[in-house]
Amino acid sequence: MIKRCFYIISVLFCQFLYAQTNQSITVSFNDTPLNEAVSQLEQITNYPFFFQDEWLKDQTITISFDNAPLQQVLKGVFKESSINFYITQNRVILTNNSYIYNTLPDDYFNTDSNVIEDKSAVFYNEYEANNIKGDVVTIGKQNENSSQEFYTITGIVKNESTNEPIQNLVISTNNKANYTTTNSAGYFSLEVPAGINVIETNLLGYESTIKNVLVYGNGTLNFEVLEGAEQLDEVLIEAKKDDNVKTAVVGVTTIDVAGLKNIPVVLGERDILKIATTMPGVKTAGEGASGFNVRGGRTDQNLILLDNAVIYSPSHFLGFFSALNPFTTGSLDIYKASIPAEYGGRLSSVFDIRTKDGNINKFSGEGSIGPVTANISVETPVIKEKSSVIAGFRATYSDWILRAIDDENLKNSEASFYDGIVKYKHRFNEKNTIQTSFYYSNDKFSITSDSIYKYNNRLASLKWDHSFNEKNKAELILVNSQYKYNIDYEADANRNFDFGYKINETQLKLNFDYFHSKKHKFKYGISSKLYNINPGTIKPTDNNSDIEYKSLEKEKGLESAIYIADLFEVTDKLLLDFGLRYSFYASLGPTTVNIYEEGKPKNPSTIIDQETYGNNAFAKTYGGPEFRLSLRYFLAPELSIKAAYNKTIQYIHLLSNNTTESPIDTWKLSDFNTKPQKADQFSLGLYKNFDTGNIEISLEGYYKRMTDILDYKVGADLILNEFLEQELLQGEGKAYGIEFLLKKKKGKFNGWLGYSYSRSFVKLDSKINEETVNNGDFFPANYDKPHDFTTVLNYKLTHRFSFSANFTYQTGRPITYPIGKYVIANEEQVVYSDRNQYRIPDYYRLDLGINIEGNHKIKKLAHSFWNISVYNVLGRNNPYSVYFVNEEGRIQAYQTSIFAVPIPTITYNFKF
Amino acid sequence: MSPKIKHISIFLSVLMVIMSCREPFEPESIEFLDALVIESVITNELKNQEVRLTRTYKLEDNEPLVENNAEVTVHDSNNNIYAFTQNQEGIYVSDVEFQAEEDLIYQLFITTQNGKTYQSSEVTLTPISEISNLYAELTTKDNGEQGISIFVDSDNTSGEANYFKYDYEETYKVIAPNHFDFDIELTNLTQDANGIEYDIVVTEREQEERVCYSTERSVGIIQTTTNELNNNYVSRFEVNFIPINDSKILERYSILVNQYIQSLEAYTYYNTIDELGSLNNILSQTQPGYVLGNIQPSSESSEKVIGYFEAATISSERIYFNFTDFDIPQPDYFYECDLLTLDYNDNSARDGDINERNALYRLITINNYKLASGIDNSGTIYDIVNPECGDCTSISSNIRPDFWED
Repeated sequence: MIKRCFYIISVLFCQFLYAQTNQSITVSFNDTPLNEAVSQLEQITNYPFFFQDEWLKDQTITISFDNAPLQQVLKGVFKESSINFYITQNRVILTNNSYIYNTLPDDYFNTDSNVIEDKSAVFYNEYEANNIKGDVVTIGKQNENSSQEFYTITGIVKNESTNEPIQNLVISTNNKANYTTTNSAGYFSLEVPAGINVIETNLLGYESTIKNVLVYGNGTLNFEVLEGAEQLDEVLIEAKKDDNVKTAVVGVTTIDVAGLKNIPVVLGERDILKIATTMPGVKTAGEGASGFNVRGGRTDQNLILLDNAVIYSPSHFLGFFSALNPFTTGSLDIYKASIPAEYGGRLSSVFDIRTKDGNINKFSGEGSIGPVTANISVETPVIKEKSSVIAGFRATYSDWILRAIDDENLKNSEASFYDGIVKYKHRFNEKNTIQTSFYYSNDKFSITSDSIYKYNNRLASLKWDHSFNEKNKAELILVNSQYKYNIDYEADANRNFDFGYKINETQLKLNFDYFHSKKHKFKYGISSKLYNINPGTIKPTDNNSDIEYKSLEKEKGLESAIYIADLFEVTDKLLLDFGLRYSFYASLGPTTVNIYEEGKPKNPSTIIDQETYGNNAFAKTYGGPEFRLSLRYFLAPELSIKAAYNKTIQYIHLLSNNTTESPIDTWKLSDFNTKPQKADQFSLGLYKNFDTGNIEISLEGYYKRMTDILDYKVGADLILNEFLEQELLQGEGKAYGIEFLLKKKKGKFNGWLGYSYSRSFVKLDSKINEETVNNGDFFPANYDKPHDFTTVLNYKLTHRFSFSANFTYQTGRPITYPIGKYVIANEEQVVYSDRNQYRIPDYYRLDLGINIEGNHKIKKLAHSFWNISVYNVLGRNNPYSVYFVNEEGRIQAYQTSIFAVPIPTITYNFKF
Repeated sequence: MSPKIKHISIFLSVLMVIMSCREPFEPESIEFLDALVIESVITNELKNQEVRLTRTYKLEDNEPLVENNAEVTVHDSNNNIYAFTQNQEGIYVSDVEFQAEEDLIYQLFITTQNGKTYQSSEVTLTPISEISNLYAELTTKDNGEQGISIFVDSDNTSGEANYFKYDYEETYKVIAPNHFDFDIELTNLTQDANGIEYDIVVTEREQEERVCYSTERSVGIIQTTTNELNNNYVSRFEVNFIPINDSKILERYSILVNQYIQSLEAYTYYNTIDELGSLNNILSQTQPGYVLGNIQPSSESSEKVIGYFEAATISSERIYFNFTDFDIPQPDYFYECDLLTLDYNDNSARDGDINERNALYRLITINNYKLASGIDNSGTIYDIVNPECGDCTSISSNIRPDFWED
């Protein structure tokens, strides 16, 4: 009883606080519908009221006030209803049967212990078990006769400051047994056991909210959550809290975009994709290498999506910077094992990058100024509460500085890039939302003075969300991506040329969600994608050039898929995620295919026939079912075990004769002579959370088999080769590993620590000697780095100063090392070991950073902070590659390293 | 430049340097592969055919070792067996002259002195293509460097020859610029408190030391293919480039170019090896690896063997030219000529210059300096020169090759 009194007192106390600011109101209602009454009050007070219409439906009110404070008026108006109200900052927030409390002094509830001791007579038994702190919201009317065990709580979650609905926020009971996420309208529906429940909200960048709820029946509970960033809080990996134990997905990594500011950076660039590589299972071949190796897969096996459109080269300047604007990026999820059935076309992973929704209430922005780049993003409502635009632009000024330098060598160098993104989102009504994004990035650089490399990505994406009813929803997605590059060579009068490559793809995708019941949630859909590739065109750039115009035959392909997935909650403990995708690929004409003699090496002398196909004729088709199965089982409330089997097929391949991906590599479609790559992955994981999700531990193991992965004959020539199939090998791959991750998400000291032991092998065996590598045995892949240890740590000293450190250790990657010299044709050559038999020295690096915040009044006009970081503090000279060149008949060895000295940077960031 | 810009530019300069820092280093053998290296082309020219057998050597070492005392035979499909014997240079030469013939299959067998046996796969003679023209032209490279290019044109009447490999032998005349028909010998050296004394005897040179001929083999793999050209013949393919200031063309110059027609497999083998030894891109590298040739150990074994055995048609052509055939200045001699005039009577260093008697003795006896011109009237003053300028045999050979045409 005391508890209940206490609750009421606290309500009164809060309301009293706000009553001071009230104006006096004179009004009278006579059988006035409640919603009309509210409208009148809105006019009188000039305060906006926030509520949902249905709460006020079919209710009338008869009451009058004379010079009464707003507090009293509202109390009177809602006395008979289940509505609670909350007055703040000249607005009134109504909640249905829930109570919003402001932050209270720490000692405010210091009587809690007494309260709890005295509870037993009052409520359900759960009360004690949950050890409730704070006050309690009651939902539904208590009914002695109710035999129902579960009730449904529905509600809306909004951003406290902008009042926008918040999507993807996780709402759960604190024992994690029940959870859900909000949809794009911020709406959620959560089934909870009757009785006392502690309900939490969690989303990256927002403060976690906890409410104690006493559930007597179905009801409404709304949340307003604070943006974490404005609170200057260290928000690290807050996203999808507890998802790791709850979902059926194995091998998913969520990158906290807001937390990025705490991580030391190189050259002042916050880099989302670089952070991804600090997670176990995601690796790069080295600094300056673009592309990721996920769980022992090749760099071309990742589907990198920005707002549903494929981004072919997500990095700038040869991989030193990521091409994603950190300010406009909302979320990044990396699926390493259980790839949802709606995605396909790549073997190893999906990087699902989504742009933030713009602010629909007010203009705001963020910016940063670093030594090499400047970045700004702005968001603004177009129609308040309905539509918004977010735009980001980033560019280097390195070019301008390079030109200002007196050094002759540097004057002619060039390294510039920029990227821009615009996203528009329009909510027509509760049921229809449209969003569209446009992205463009451009790079231009020259390493040697005679050639200029240019490459650019262009993406356009359109998405229409439609909700048929509470149970059925659809998404229609139309995307187009283009990637092209150009080499402009200008050195000798007679060899000047311009070389170009282009890939363009357009995809139409229709997704449906069907919430059948608590037990079954279906997703199904179809998609189709058309590829057009111009594999290479070379043309002379002036009349003196001897280069002849040459253009390879265009490649065209159609990749389609149909899929269905069921999230089947068998019991509270067992969750199954069954997905089946059937993909179909056709290599389309016009094309001429070379047919080779069976069992002979592919070379000009073994072509036995040529076949020509007309426009859009199927030159070759491939296809097959792809199973995506996973399950989760709760061993204890915060301990789960998960298992998954995943099959993937890939119809497009990256041709790269170098050991690392580079922007001038070309993508090739499967065709008559090039089979699609296939992979099967089995994974198993254990997940445990402590301290209500603040600490997460996971241990995952996987085994992956791959077939027909692409490799090349030694010294293959891949550019402008019309008989490319003669240079290609297709072999087997296998990869296995275990990944350990420990995360502490909150507190003064937070961060994560990841370790993985993983291996990746390739086997190129054939009856034909020249197509056999290393005697046809498995050998380590170029990116096989068994031990990988990374830790990112943050320590917040005061509200203004925080320190961060990042340490990485990796086994050196395999190389093919010379094991002797010999003389042939009167010239010295080296004899190489079997492929990848040796390793370059181990890689390690320590980065340190410090963030200095400006003063942190929450309602300041612009919030700013300085970031000072030092990359590679230890100055470790990590070799990147080792190679051997013949110089005047003798062999000379060279090694390259990148960032071999500590690199300090200072960046100024601001937010308005 | 404002101080701020300067700071940034220093930063960026450092940045550009560190971002792609490429440095040479001395590689150490992690492990050494001791393998047999075989270089052999049996041609359709009737001659003593050759097989070169060497062994791989360590990264730190400089010279390959010759594989001695091996038994080498070539078998053809007419059951002829040609035995090879090692000559003085360590090259295995066939005991009899023979030539590769069309429609026959050839195979190489080797037994090394430690008893290991190796055999090549079976090869057949490649199609014929003759060098139709070998010529020298003054050209300018892309970087502005001028030189004499040696071009090859080749016919291909059969149209079957697609893969061409070249090597060449350059022979050039060397004329010692300060040669004098006489030389001096120093005898009867005595030494006392006043210094040394010796007799100077002027003698006529016994051997040719003015005109010599140097011969050098080409270095490196030179290949071309007609595969990508519409007209199936080699045209203006540059096999050699001699910069205009190269001393090789100071006097008469000759080049013998051999053209071998290769099979696709042999072409691919050499082409891959050549590509692995060249630098393509600063930031990334070509995938290196062991390149498998057509010679394997006879027993089932994964032992690595380097090299390729070919039966190839050969076409050879020789041309001569002088620098005066082109509108170019005469190049300098190979060496700086150190012409000294020394007086036997200067037996003291106290007069402010060297003790010329001592210097004369030292240079003639230890440094092999040669007399450069006639003795002046006093009979005590001698013009001498370093041996490279006074005696061509110190850097070349005085044997005039049989083929030489002046």
